[in-house]
Amino acid sequence: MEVKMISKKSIKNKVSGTQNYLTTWIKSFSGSLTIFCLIILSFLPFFSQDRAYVSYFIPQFTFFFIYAIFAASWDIATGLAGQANFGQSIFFGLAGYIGGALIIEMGVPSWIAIIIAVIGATFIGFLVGIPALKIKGPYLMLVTLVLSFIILRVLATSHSGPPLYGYEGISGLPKLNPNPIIEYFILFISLIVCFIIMMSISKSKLGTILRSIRDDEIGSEASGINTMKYKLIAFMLCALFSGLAGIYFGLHYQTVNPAGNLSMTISFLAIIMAALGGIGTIRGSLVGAFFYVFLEFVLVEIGLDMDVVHIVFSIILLLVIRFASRGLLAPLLDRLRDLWDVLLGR
Amino acid sequence: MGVLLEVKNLTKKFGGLTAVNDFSFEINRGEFIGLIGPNGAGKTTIFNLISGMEKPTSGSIHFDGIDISGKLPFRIVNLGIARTFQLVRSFKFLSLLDNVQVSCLSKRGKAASKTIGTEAYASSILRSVGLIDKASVPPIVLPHGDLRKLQIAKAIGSNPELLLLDEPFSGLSYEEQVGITDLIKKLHSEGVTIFMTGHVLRELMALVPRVIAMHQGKFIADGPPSEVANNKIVLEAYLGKGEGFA
Ligand SMILES: Nc1ncnc2c1ncn2[C@@H]1O[C@H](COP(=O)(O)OP(=O)(O)OP(=O)(O)O)[C@@H](O)[C@H]1O
Ligand SMILES: [Mg+2]
Repeated sequence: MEVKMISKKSIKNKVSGTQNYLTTWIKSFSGSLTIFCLIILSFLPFFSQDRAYVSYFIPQFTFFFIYAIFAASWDIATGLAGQANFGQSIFFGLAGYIGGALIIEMGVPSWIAIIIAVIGATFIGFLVGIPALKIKGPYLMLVTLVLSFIILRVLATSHSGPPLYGYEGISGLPKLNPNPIIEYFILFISLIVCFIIMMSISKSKLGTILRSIRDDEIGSEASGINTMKYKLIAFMLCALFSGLAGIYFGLHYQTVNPAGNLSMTISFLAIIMAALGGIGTIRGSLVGAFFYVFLEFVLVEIGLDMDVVHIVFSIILLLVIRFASRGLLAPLLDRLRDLWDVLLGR
Repeated sequence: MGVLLEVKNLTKKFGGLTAVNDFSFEINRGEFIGLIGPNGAGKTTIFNLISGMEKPTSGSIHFDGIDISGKLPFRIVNLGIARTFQLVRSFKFLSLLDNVQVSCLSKRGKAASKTIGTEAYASSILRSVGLIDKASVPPIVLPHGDLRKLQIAKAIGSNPELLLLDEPFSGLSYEEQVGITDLIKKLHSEGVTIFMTGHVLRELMALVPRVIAMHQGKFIADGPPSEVANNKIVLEAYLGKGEGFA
């Protein structure tokens, strides 16, 4: 009885603590900015009934939502836990394959296929994490990169049709929802939920442990931390969220194939977006993904070839790493916060 | 009180070099012991072997009756042996509080901080080493003396029974040494068994009631500092290197 009472009380404390936290957060600068963005994004699909707007402009945001989850997931294993991972496309692509195959071959409903794809990706994350237990730094980078390359090759050179689907991959997948506006909101809510989870991980004690491994693995081990276990957890979390992004991506394009879902370009996208936003910040990925999607949109609109677009981004990335190693978000927030304080006369 | 650490015929070879050579000793619960020897004697290697950072070539290490030779470092910490490093190391992007909290989040640290939580536990450790005012800053901004204190704070977060301190005074001014000395004495009075190496022999010899001396990986003497300091082989080992006790 007493135990129950105590736990009830502590839950109550926790809830009111959360409420306090929420109110101060909303009043804080980044809180108000977030709320502002959330409101804009909630009304965005209704600004115009124009067909081009609904079926061309709105899906750009769908990409933004998917990419933001994807880039942030990379940031968990690499930005937080310091595990140089250049094989992010493995989780992204294979989750698409798992979900796609389930839908096409077995007629599994999309939402179940999504869940299984995410579980599958998490397991693959566990497997890819195993080399990271022994290999470090640039060598791990190479191993993950080569691994993604091998998987791409194997799938691309296989026979078409099940089980590996060959160069054409799987096509004819159903849209998440035929209505782009509903698809928009499904992904919007997914993004919010994923970010709440990922930010809580980053701020939690688990986040502290992952960062300690990044900063000094031997020191972490000497502090009594089972670094192997936590490195695997980092890879699994990374794979879980990038798997979700991957199956969403596949369903959005209604197809999954080696070139589109498993190429190294996909891995580099995650890295570019996370680095643009600021590595190790998680929420920086939001800014990085937004920046990427809209600059890409503009560059393609003015008629640049996709390869040229990628070169432009590589150059931007180099500039960011050289001149703004914190990424774009932190300096941007500092500037805006100054402005905010001036406006409020603080 | 009984034997806490029992090292038997411990040997560690790095290729052709024998860094620790057939080394044996025992430490009783609650003792305060120094490990001395000239540069390259093998002191750090002995600490690395005890803490699991290196695997012994042969020989055994028992802690509290449990064979720990070859166990993973984090398991050894969770059995109750914590260590500091000769060269300071810290989690450079974490606050001091989080630097200490990491070891409080180890299995053993969690058990020790169960009633108050790891954060409060880490704060209390920072307070006891005199760094609580800097709890929210990263270690980069600390002077070397504070970094040495942080090393000890990080080590005691896992609530060790045996604390291995590798050159805790190295690079410190006299005043800073006094601060660390007081801290180590306090830990010992709270019941932590202390095993430490030191280069500044005068300070170390004045602090501990028992020292073990080694040279070129080999055991040479064990006893009260006054005895060991007058041991012929010890003097030769040091004087041969141009160092002395004066
Ligand atoms: N990982 C290693 N690989 C090869 N040789 C090593 C390694 N670690 C230590 N040694 C060698 O083993 C011997 C003992 O080194 P150790 O660091 O244990 O000495 P020490 O007594 O701690 O010296 P110091 O007073 O300089 O700290 C030295 O000759 C050293 O060069
Ligand atoms: Mg040494």
